[in-house]
Amino acid sequence: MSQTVISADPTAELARLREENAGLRERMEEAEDTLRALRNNEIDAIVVGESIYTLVGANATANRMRGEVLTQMEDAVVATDLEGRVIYMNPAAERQYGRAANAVLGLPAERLYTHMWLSDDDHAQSRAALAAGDAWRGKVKHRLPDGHELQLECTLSCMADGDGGRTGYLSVLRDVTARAQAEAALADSQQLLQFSMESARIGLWTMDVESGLATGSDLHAACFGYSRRVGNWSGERFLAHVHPDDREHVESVRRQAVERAGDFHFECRVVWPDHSIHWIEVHGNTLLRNGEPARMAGIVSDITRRRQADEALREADRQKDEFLATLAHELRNPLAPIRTAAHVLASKRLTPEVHDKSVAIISRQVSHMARLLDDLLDIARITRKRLTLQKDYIDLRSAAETGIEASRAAIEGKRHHLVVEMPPTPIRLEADPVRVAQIVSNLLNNAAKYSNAGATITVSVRRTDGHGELVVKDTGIGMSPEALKSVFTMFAQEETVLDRSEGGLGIGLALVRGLAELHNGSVSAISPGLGRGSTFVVRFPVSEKAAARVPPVAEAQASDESQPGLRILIADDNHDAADSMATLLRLLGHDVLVAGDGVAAFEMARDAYPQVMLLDIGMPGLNGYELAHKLRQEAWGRNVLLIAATGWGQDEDKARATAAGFNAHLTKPFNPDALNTLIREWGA
Amino acid sequence: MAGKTEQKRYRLSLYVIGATPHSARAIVNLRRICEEHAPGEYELRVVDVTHNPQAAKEHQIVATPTLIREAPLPLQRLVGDMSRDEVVARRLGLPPREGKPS
Repeated sequence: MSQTVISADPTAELARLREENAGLRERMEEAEDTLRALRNNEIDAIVVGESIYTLVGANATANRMRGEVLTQMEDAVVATDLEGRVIYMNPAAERQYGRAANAVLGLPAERLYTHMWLSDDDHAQSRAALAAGDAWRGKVKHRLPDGHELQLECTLSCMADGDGGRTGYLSVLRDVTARAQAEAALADSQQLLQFSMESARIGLWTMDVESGLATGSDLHAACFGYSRRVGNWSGERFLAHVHPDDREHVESVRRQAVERAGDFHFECRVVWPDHSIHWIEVHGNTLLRNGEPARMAGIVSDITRRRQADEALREADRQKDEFLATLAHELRNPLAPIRTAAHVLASKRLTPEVHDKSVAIISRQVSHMARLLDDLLDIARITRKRLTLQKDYIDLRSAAETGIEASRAAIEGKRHHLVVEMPPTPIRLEADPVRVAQIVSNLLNNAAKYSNAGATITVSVRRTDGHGELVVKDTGIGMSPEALKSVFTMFAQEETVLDRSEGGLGIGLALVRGLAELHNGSVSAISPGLGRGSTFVVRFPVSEKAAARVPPVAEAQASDESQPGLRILIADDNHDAADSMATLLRLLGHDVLVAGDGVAAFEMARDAYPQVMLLDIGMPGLNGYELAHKLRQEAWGRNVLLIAATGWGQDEDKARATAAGFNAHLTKPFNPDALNTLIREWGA
Repeated sequence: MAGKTEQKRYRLSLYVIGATPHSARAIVNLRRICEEHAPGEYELRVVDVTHNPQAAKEHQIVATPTLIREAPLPLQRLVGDMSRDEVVARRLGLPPREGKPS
């Protein structure tokens, strides 16, 4: 290179020349580089202005079209070279992985995501497909660097150059995470539905309207008495299972549903292969295709138990109505003879015989009514579990004797012959003697009632394997096997033979069972059939350890009937009740005062110092409890025998009376003998 | 999708035509060289000439792949598939590889 120009400033000139030289060398190097690249086949296109001349296989126009397709694609597209470095990603891939292509191109694909196969099989199959030059399609998961996971539908294929040499891999990745989550939620909800259906014992069915061909679930089959789903099910087969009497109804419901193309519901009976009859409930809907009913689908459940429960409820309701009618009748019955007897007693031409007869009538009818009400109260307490036993160590024989005594009038009234069989030694129980006697008496009354006059009734007390057994056997009308089943149920009465004149509420035997069970005992009934008598057996557990403590029953009765005259004050706002009781007590030799309310009673007592006071509880002004409390505050009132007289004999009433200071409690109407006994015991 | 706005020391633009084997090779090679010589100090932009003919004209691209060093100035221009690591690094003025002086 020759020097042509010499500058005035050789140093500056040299610098300028050096710079120029460097620039030239640079451009030469660029030009050489381009030529070298061209020679070495490193260039794939020459650009002149806006025209692109491609040098190798790739056609610029086609390339551009492909590029545009990839750019527009909703699915992410990522291309890698054979070593797994990213050489292309489209905008969808940038969005999906949250990275700009410029930041990732040329880097290992792991910078974008970690590829995870769902199974080893998938991995092996994809490798085989790629090796064969095919594409693999399947589900994969990608974990992003931030730990987030994507569920993807992936299409994986090989890329090749113009000569067919493999250059890399192309992945088309559709994010199905949302869909996968929806699918999982759907699977969840289907499982829940399945569980609900199974828990609720609901079966599913569908039926093609035109062909009548149908399918059903296992629970559907169970509604028709099959253990698993039945093949070849159809509308016709269904109808064949429907009870003949219900077929017409079911057919018309189905026809209407098709005509209206709407939903439907019916209940019907079906006959199972074992000939048993069950109730089913069906809900369904008609599905349209091109506006025409095409398919019916719905649910079915077995409602036999619900139907039975409904039926039982209706029956119980009917029995309750009947019972109320009987109760009204039974309570009204005794009133007629009582009223008549009262009129007779008021007559001026009353003879002593007629007087005695009238009094006997009143007494008998009142006892009858009181017994009815006692039974009613007892059964109500047993039902509400409010009855408590006054347990003691007793001999079953003596409790039975007491019961027999109580029923003697009913037995003798119909001239029945009573046979009593007792063992020679005591049968010891821990039991409430009053309630055991009540059981015996109720069974005997029942036997007397349902036997024609002059029958033989046998009462046996015996011991069997750890139990005391009480057997009441009659030769009466007996019971049908159906009646035997419900004989101990409340309100059950043998209707066909119900004799109104015999009366009764039909609760006597229910009471027997309730009382027996309260004693951990049991009761059973046997009858060979109608007209052939009945036998009732009650079993009580024996209490051996109680042996020594059974008191000698006989001695307790031995006491003097005569009482010295006492001063007794009666307080009751019911004047008739107070006066009649006063009359009776005066007849027994007592000095009796009567007060019409609590305040008067207190004042009267303060002046007269009665030894016994019989107080009604429900009185105006000062009620019985308050009066008792007040009396006990006074020095003179502390030792008075205070007896509460109430219409309600509930245990809590008794407890309240005791708390108020009463010594004893009598439930109205009470037997004058009970009062006598109280007074006698108090005197002793 | 915008990259980081922070200005890197080396700003490079690689002009290619689509995802051809040549451009793929150029991308991969260039990324490797940059990561080895100037990790974290460069910004690489891949420009598809088929979509941006205007950009190609502006930068006087005559062949693809072409790499233009936009910063630091002056502009430097390399053509080819960027397979000669040492030449590319030297022409771009990248620092020598760590632990291996050039």
